[in-house]
Amino acid sequence: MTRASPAIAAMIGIVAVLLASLPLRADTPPRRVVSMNLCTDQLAMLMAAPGQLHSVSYLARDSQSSVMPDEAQRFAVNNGLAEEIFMMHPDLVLAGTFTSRASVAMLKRLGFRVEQFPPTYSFDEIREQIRRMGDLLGRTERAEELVADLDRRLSAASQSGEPAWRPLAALHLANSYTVGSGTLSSDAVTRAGLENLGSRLGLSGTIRLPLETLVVSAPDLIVGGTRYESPAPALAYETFEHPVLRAVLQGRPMTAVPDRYWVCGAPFTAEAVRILADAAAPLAPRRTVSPPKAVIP
Amino acid sequence: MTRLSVRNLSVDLGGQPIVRDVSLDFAPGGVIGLIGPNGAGKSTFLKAILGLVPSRGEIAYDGAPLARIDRHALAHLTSYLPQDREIAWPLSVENVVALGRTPHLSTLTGLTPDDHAEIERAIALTDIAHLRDRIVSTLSGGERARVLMARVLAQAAPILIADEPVAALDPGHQIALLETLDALSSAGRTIIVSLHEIPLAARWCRRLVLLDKGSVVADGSPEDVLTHEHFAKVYGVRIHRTMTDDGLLVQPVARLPSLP
Amino acid sequence: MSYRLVVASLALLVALLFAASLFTGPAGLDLATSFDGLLGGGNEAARLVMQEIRLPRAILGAMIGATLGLSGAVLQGYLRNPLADPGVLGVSASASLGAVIAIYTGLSAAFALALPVMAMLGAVAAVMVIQVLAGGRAGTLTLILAGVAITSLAGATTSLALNLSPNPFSAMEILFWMLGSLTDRSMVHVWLSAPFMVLGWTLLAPLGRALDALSLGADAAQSMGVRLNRTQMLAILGTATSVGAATAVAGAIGFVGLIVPHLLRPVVGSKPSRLLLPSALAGASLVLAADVAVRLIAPDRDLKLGVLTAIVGAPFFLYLVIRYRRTLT
Repeated sequence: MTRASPAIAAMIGIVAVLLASLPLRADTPPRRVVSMNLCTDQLAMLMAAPGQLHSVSYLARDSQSSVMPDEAQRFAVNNGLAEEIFMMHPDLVLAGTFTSRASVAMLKRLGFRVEQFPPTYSFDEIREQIRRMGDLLGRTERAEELVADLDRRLSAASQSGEPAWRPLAALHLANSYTVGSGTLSSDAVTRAGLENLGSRLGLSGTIRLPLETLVVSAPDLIVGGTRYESPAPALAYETFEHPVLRAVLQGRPMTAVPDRYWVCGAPFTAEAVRILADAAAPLAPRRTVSPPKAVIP
Repeated sequence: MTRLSVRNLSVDLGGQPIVRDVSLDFAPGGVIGLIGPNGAGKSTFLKAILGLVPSRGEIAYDGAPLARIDRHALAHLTSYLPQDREIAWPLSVENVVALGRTPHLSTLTGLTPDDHAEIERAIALTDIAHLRDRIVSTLSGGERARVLMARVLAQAAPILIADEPVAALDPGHQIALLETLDALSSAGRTIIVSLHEIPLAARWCRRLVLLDKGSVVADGSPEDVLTHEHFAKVYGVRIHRTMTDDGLLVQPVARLPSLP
Repeated sequence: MSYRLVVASLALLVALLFAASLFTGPAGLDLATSFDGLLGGGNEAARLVMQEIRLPRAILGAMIGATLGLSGAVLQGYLRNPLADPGVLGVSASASLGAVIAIYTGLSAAFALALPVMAMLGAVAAVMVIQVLAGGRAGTLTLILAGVAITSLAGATTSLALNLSPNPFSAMEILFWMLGSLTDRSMVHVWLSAPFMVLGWTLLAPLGRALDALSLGADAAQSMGVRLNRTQMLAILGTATSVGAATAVAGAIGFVGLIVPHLLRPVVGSKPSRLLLPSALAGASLVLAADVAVRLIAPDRDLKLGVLTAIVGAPFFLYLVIRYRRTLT
């Protein structure tokens, strides 16, 4: 060894450390993945290799919340508790950013690798998340397949170019909530060739829209959320029965878009766009009414 | 309209016999005083004859059994001053006295001129005219007692029953009230009062009923009832008794050594 | 102030506040459009807002307020206690429990009338318990404690029922039941509750004379011809019917029945019969005013009505306790 060997050893050491700290890519895909969040559940189920995904959350089996309840039966179920996930010995844990902080923090402390996915607010973000999941699972080809599928379904469902007239759609969720701009639902509404009332009124995020304001805006379409009414009712849906909504619609039914299509951003979100576009198709422009004042949130 | 007859009246309260097999008749012609030691059953007896507590035996007003007389009709026959001088709200004196006209009011009308006349008479008889607009909660005990008596008088019922009506009053007002009641009884009303004030009972009641432990011990004129034997046996006290120009004077003076 | 003048002024106040309630709301309609809409003409959207959203809300505000004021005055007269009120005594909380059972078991979805009926049953149960525990001779302390016990029990059972419901929204709806709200009530709610409220009023209104006589105690009142059983039955059924129906559609709105008779006693005197009609009118005014205020304070949120009545009422209750503390037994 020469005088230079400590320097070379140091450089080799540094390079080794650098190499070791690089994120694992296609060379070592995780072999035992546990997902704690409905949205990561569904993305993982769509993309994981056989045997790669070990467990999904209990919500994935609920037919009102999940698009793939039967599929979810093939995996072990978890309730999002750190203890039970610990016992599963995963090498990758998938969670949402709103998943219980205590549980996620505990898992990290126990040394597990936890990747968190925020909710998606647009179709662009859906594509990003699909690709990210593909990277994490070492399934990039499958990811591109899903992105292509999403694009295909979107173009089939929505019109190309700017439509001549955009019907006004009011989203009316439980407790009189609506969605404003910057949300996935709002993006879906726009792609279906409709205008979102919440966006027109200058609202952003998910926020309460008084029934009166909805009525005065004279929407062409009212889009209702899923009612978790069986087996038990709640007051949250009382406004769905309000005579005033029926009067606004002039006998037409409320458009039902099941929550499960757009609560999580995934290729199946295009289904929501399809339902909305189908509902919009038979509509014709009505007599104009005075535009409502913007509501300051 | 003024005769009350009681036969074999018994009242139990809380499992204890309070009134035992009492039979009495009441009619106008002098104030009838009900006397006896504490716990003798005087208040309970008065409540029983008004149907305010459940009882066994027969009670009849002018021959009509109490059970067949409804509350409203009974309120036209009898008026009652309870021992409890409760007045729940800060009402004016005039309003309290006017309450006495309640049985006479028809559903929709207010006080008629007749009602007002009775109210004024009652106010005059109890000497509370100068207190008319005062709130009762600001009055002294004696003044309040007179207001409540006025309420009973305003009801103008043929039978008047009062439980210790003179207890809180000063001597002047005690005598005034008993004079009033005596005059009313002479005018044709039946007046039954219970009281502890022996000298007043001696002087102002034409008939006394002495109750002890729920039974009638003596029933007759004050001379016949207020005897040394009765006081010794029932109250365990020695009395001083004389006949004066102003009538019979009886005053308990000392306790006797304990009874067997 | 003469009695007639007081009643007339209060009636005018109710009318003004009713109008204010009709013309307040987030839709931003101007007065002319609102008026047209109310009468059924003009702009379809304005008509819908005025006739289907604002009108039922104003009607319910007035009727529920009248119910609470009237029942408060009757309860205070009947129990001879200045701290009585349907909320304090647990009648509203029990009515809420009845309503919750009707809704969350799906009973009211099958039979719409199940909602007011169950609420009324809940209210009757509470009033009967109060009567047993505190009727007659019991003092203020017993009465208030009985009310606290009933409210706690009813509230806890309601929370339990809501938390056990599989519906994810149910647990949060406890706020509606405990604080009350008139938001987005429709004419359906009016038809469900109004007949029962009016029925309750007809049972309570004739009690004036009996309540006056009761000022002197139960024995004296009976000796003046008051039939205690009948009075008790009317007071219980009248309160339960009207307060039950009101709570079924708007939740438990507190303190109105407590405050209103107290504000009126210096004006019309303490005679219970004189307080009945003015209390109904003043109660209507109070609830209408609070309902206008919640829409002005937080136009886009669903601020609960009971929050406002509690902000005014709870300190007032405290003041009453301090003032009457010497008479508490």
